[in-house]
Amino acid sequence: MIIAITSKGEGLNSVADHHFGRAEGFTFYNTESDTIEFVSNLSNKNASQGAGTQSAAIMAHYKVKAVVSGSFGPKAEQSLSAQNIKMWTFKGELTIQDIIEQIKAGKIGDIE
Amino acid sequence: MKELVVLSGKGGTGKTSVSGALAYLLGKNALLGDCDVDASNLHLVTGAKNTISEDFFSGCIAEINNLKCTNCGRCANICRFNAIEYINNTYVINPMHCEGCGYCYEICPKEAIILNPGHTGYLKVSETRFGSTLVHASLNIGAENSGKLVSRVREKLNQIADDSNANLIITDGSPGIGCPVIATITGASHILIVTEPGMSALHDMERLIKLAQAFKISVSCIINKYDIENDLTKNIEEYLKQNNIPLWGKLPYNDVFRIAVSDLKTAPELNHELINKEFKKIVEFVKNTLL
Amino acid sequence: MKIAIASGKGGTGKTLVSVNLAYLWSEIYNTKTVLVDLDVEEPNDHVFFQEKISSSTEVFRPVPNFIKERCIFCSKCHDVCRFNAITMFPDTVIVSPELCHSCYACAELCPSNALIMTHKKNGVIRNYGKDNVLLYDGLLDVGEASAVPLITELKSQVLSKHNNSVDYFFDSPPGTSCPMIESIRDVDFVILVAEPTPFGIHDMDLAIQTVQLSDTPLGVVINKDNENSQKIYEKCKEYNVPILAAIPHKREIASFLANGGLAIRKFDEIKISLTQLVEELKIRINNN
Repeated sequence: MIIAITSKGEGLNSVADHHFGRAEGFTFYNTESDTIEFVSNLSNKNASQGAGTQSAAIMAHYKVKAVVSGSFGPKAEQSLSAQNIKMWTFKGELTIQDIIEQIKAGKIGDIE
Repeated sequence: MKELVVLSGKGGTGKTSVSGALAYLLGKNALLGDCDVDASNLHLVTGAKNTISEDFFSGCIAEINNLKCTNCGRCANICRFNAIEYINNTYVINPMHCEGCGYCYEICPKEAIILNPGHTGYLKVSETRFGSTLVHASLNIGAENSGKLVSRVREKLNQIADDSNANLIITDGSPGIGCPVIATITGASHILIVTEPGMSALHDMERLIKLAQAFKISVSCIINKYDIENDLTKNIEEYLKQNNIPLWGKLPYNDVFRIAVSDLKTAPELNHELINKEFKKIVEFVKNTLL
Repeated sequence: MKIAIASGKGGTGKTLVSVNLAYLWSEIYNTKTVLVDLDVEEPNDHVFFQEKISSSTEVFRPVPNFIKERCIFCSKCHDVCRFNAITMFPDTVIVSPELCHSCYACAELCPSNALIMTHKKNGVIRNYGKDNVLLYDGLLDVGEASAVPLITELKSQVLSKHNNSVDYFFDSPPGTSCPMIESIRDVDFVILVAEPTPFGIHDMDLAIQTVQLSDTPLGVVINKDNENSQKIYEKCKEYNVPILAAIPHKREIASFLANGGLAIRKFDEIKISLTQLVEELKIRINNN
């Protein structure tokens, strides 16, 4: 399955972003192939309004099953729930690598 | 960094007088923001200098290229904001009324409409005479105040906060409850409402409190000019008690405020014993609630 | 005749002037006047108006409603919306009404009629009084982003109802951006109420520039007049804007107003200042 992780940049060593709607970008982690793909979210980061809902649409477009971020605004939460996309949170300064390891170890989320 | 937003609902209750006083008393500990971009005043009383300005663009303004236009009038027919008029045998878009929706641009059969980026105003960062930094803005005459420039001010405040020596943000807001106020309070830690005795101010404060509750932000209150009408002040105190809103202070109707402002100073700088005692109390509340 | 009362800074005395002017004008000319409180975010004229509320009606603004069965998922709606109010999901379209500016582009450009404009309540319009002075005001729902649609609707409803049979006084919201601009649109004269403080003069400057963009004749009324008013005279001279009247500053006036009374009944000096204002207005508007 695909899990999205909000990220400040591209690559396993980049720092995870605490924002969802206004995240710099998203790293899509494919659990089956153990690979990642980065997509920039600059247009939503800089949007004056509607960032939460539009970012949720990107998740749906990429067929994401769960998103990992610091927190989710009310509109984002509403849209993601409506699409049955799970919301998992992390705390502290972590890299994408750290988050993927935590997911594998069952410390973030609930992989079946 | 925690952020205190000072609001009033009704204009003229003394919001900027209070923000200015807090700016003086907190000195370098406070990072200041003025989100009243329509009629910003905090820079006047904080002695803003060494200002760095940045152009701010938001939305767009449509313009008709007369060389391509064939006067078919389709744009004027669909414009819901009455921004397109037929003047001197040609169609003209009035930038003051253009909403920037781009509908005319989409349907012009001759591609004669240009969407220009809207230069809405300027974002400014200044040093104050208290040794603190002030982020403020000015909206161009006739520009829209949708809250975007306000959001930019707050974004800049957050960017500066990380590298700043301050431990608290004090933001002066605008009157009303619409978009600019909403943009001022999203993500704020606490709202301080400055009110005055009077039916108008009470109504307006009630609506502002509703807005704060919708955004789940804690609220407290200062009653300014409290001795203008002692009975009405009692009404406000009752209302605050019933709604569990802490009263942080009561400031008298006193020439000190008028004189301070006309000298472009903040009230505590005039060293009126009772007023300064009250401000000291207010600063304690600010520190206890936000730090 | 349509007269707007505005100001840059809030709290300068727009409502004091608007309400008392509406009553005084009606008395002097023995005519019907309609006071319209366009400060729909925080309306206060009713506090000073001498009659109770007569009725309240809901007001709506148009927003699109998505009809899934008709959608062909072409994304045209999302592509044309400049306010991010339309979001495309793989299986549906979400409209965010709070972001919508009611431009109709998405609904009218949808190739399959899958977005139909419907109504969203954005406030109420209320009216007061039944004799020679009437008041209409609007109250914007808390959480609504823009006051402008309600201001436009309120003006439109009042003007349709009374046409040219009455004289109108539009009490505008403070500031110089869209709500004020919409309020002073298509009036015969704009009165700017200014106070002689650094903030007041700074904001009056912005307000004068804003009104002058519209080519509507204007004049200034000084409220809380004191020894610093000289600066207002100087600034107005720079802009070639006349000073029409000055209302003195008195603590008793503030106390009286806190209780919501009609100032011209209690303070002769205010009645005199505003009578002068009425005379100035009649001369200036007739000359145009």
